[in-house]
Amino acid sequence: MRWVNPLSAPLAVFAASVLLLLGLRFLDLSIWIALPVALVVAFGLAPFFQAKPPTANPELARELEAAKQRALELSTKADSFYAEATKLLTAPGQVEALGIVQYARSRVQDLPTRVAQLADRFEGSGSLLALDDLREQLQGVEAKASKSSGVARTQFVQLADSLRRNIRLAQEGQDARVAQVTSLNTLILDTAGTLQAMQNRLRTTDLPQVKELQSLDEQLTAFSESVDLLVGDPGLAPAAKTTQDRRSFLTSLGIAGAAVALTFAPIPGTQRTLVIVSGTELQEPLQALKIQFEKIHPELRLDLQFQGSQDIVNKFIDDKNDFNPAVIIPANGQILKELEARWRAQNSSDPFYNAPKPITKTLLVAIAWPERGKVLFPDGRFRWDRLEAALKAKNWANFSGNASWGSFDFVITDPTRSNSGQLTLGLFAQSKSGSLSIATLNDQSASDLIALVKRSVYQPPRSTDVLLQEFIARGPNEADIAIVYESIALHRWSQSTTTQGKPYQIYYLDPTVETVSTAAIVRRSIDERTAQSARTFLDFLTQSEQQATFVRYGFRPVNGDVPNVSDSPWQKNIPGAESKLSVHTLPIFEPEILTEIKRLWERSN
Amino acid sequence: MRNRKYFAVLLTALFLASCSSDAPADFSGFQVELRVGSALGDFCKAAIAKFNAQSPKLANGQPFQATCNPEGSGDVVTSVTTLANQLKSGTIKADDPQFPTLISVDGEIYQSQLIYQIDQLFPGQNYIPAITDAPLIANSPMVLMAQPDVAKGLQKVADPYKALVTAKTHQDIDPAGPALTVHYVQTAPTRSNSGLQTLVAQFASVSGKRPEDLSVADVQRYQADIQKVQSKVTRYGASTNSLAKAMVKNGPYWATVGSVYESSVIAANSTLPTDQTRYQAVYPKSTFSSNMRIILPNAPWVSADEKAAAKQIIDFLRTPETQKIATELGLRPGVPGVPLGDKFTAAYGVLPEPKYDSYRPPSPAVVSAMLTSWLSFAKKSSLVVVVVDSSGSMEGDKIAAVQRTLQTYVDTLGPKDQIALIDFDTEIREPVVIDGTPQGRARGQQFISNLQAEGGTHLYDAAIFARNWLRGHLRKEAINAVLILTDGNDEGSAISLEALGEELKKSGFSTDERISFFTVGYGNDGDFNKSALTQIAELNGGYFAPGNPETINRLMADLQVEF
Repeated sequence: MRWVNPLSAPLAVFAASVLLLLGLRFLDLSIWIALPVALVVAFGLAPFFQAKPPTANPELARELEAAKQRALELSTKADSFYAEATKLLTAPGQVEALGIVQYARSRVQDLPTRVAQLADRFEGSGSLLALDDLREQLQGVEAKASKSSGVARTQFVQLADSLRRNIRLAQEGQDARVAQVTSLNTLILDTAGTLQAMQNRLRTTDLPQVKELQSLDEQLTAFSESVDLLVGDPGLAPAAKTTQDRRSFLTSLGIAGAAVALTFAPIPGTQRTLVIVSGTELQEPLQALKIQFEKIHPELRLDLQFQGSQDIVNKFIDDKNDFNPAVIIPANGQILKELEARWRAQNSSDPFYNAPKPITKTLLVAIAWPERGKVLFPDGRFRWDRLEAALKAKNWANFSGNASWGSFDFVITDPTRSNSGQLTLGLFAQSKSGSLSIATLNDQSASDLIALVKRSVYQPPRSTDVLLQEFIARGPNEADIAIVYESIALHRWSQSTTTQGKPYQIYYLDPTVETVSTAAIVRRSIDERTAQSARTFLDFLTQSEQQATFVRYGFRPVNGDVPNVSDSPWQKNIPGAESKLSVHTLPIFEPEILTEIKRLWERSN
Repeated sequence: MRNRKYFAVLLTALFLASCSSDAPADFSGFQVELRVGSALGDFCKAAIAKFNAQSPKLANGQPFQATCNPEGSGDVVTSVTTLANQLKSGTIKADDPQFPTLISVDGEIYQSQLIYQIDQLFPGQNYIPAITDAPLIANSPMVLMAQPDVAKGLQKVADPYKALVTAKTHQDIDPAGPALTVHYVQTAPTRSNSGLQTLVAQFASVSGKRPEDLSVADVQRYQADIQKVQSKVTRYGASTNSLAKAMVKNGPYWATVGSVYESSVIAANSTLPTDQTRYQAVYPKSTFSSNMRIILPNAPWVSADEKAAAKQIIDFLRTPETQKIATELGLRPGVPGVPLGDKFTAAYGVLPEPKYDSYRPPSPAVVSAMLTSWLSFAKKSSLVVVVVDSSGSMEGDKIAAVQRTLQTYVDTLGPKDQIALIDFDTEIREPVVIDGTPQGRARGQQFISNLQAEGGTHLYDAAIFARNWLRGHLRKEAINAVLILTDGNDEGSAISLEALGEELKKSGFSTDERISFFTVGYGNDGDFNKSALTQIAELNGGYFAPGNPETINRLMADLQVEF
């Protein structure tokens, strides 16, 4: 099979385009499957659908071949005639005669090219010559005839007659091209005869009359002009073919362009949905950013789902979601490492498209209702030992507090479902021994501590923002102190005044732990095209404008300090809030430490 | 399979459209039912009306409407558990339209019960999510409602419930208080969340333990003290708000203290003229916050479409605008950043920032033990004379529906309950006394089967006959009441309505006999004298309710809870 450029075969391009459209838009195939298949189809079908030459006409081919041969023979003959002339016409008075022969030779030498041009033109046209072309030729020939005289005029009149016959043939639906070639053959034969006459005159006369040669040359000029008229504009024949090629090329490009547009551009009512599952701490900024993103990318719709960070892992691994997430954003990257390890243990494959990408970060803080915080932390600094003592005391009355405050209520999230609960227990345990390892976690003091916390906290929520929302909505009667993220504590701070008539106080844990919300694009049920949309979304989130939005919601940017963003919570004089941290910050704990914390929590009674 | 699913959805829509007026008749989408506790009922109805007005649709374009069905929290748990049981046994399928999509109960004790009971049926499936996985919609602490003079005394004591164990008058609680006998009202714990929270709080008070520390043995140990508190009950009920309003209407001789939601105090005071004395909320030092959460079961009876619709509803219920409806009704908002509004002031009898220690629920097993103890031991006994009109106009469907209803009533009599059935038309027959024993039920069965529709309606004569019989057989330390069920106007009674009214006053709540009257007008409006029936009931600490063959069973079941 010969190799054909598919762009010269619009039908092949059309078939491939339909396939691409169906594959990507409706069958949700990966672009890495749909595109190669479409290319194979385009190249495979191109030879069959290429713009075909006009229906072959054997008589035309024969006539063209004969004309070609005659033109070549005549060209050779003209060369030998000129060589002979250069030997014969050596006297000084014969230079003009030699010039006439040279001129005649050049005209004859042009004939094979003109025949080839006509052949090309016929190949590029339909089986029938266009009547308009023939009429145009006739007009040209008649114009020449009217301005000519003598032999030339006779020649043009004959050619005009020949063209009128060809027009008639074309009008009758017959192939006028054969007649045109016949006319050309006649002209070649006439040219050969004239050249022969010129040669005879040279051979038989010692001193040929320049006038005689000039007359023969006039005949040759008339034949040559007739040939030009018959063949048409020298540039026309190849151009006609190029025009058709260009038309095919442009048609193919148009089809391919339309297919790409239909495949990738949004069709009204056919938005692509990207399901994002995030920890609840990002709920409010993501909901705000969703509006901006969908404005910029109307072809994409974000379906935001929020779960506790550990739930994100568990529900993904156990396939318990009633949606297919494309992007998951737990509160820290270690949770993604855990997910990856669990996924690989079950599937031996990579769960993510790309390396997980940090989005924004925050750290763990404590919040307390002010009058209770003052009793708990008299010097205004958070202390784990004071918290432990209060938990052991159970009631405020046993802890130098107001008896009417009732029981001492410490709230954290469920460590088996949420990141902040795990980190809280890790920091609490570390405060006992000064370091944190699986060994220190299994010290009696750490185990006792975890058991104490488990006995004290009541119905720990699945996620940190749910915890904070209820901390505010239910007020001091339900909870005295909570461990939450700095981001949401800052962002929701004013709500506590609205709902409870008083704001809570923020306390920085020392050391605290930094948690970086990290996004991964998952592979399960997500095709490349969706993954590409997900990359677009993640790139959007990490641009400086969006990072500023995160800062407005109390998050810290992934790189560097809190920038000077207008309306950021650090500009609202929130009691206890620090834009530049005075406490030591630890990186997130290793996955095995977090796993051990969960295990100890589940084991505690 | 898919067709079957949509057929089921269609059937659900048709079923709900037929029993609810919330959606227009030509609505082509599907219906999502919210079955909520009665404390959230008014909020739910108002919020859902606004939600439906937005013509909600799923992401796939499918329209839907929500319906709100308030019930006592205990009834919500019972109905969902019963359906789940039927699902398990194969009697019904998961797409049965009787299953609600969203559930709410008025507090976490009943929520724990729901989780526990469904988990017993389907172990390990977690069909009902954990408590805090259900988004908070509103909360309202349990308080004691009283007029200012009584409230003052209650605020002085460390533990009001403990004081109620021994106090006979309010001067026993506070010497400076009024010399009023302690008459107390609470809802029935078997059907109402506030009643159950009250019962648990009473156990916590008398035992000195926090609810979560109570054991089954503690229930046995302290039930005698609970009985002493319960002995002061004027009547029970299914709806906390109704009880609070009845307190306002009937005055301190009917009840001096009610155990209700803070929102009930606000609602009751909202109905009072400005010049009338306001009731006050007394916040116990420890009480339940009554967290009202919206539960979306992760169960086979909730389809993907229903789940998607439910999420939209939940989001709507938690918007600040919708939450404002809750605060206007006296409920504290379930989301942060929503102002309390002007109802949370002393003018409505409540404190904007009350201080109390929040109780946590006891274990489900302890709750079950408390309910059993209440039904069989602690609950105040009752004797109710049920006066049944069997005149000729009751012929056909009416008498048949009444017979079925009475049968249910008799079958569900508790060990502390007695009824006396009187059949009347032109003739007034001798009462048949029935209790929850097998013999008692057999007598009830015989009475019901002997009912025949014939004769006229000597309604007023029957009423005075019942009262006189009850006076002669008054049950001590019990709720004594008359319940009249009639479908027509009085015809030919010897006593007039005015004379009846005067006579009944002699045994009403200003006397020691404390006989209350409840009346049911049965049939179409105009068949019975609504004005006369209302007058008889409301002058005697009860109320009038209309019924028909379709609603009589539910109506009588609700009335039964009063006693």
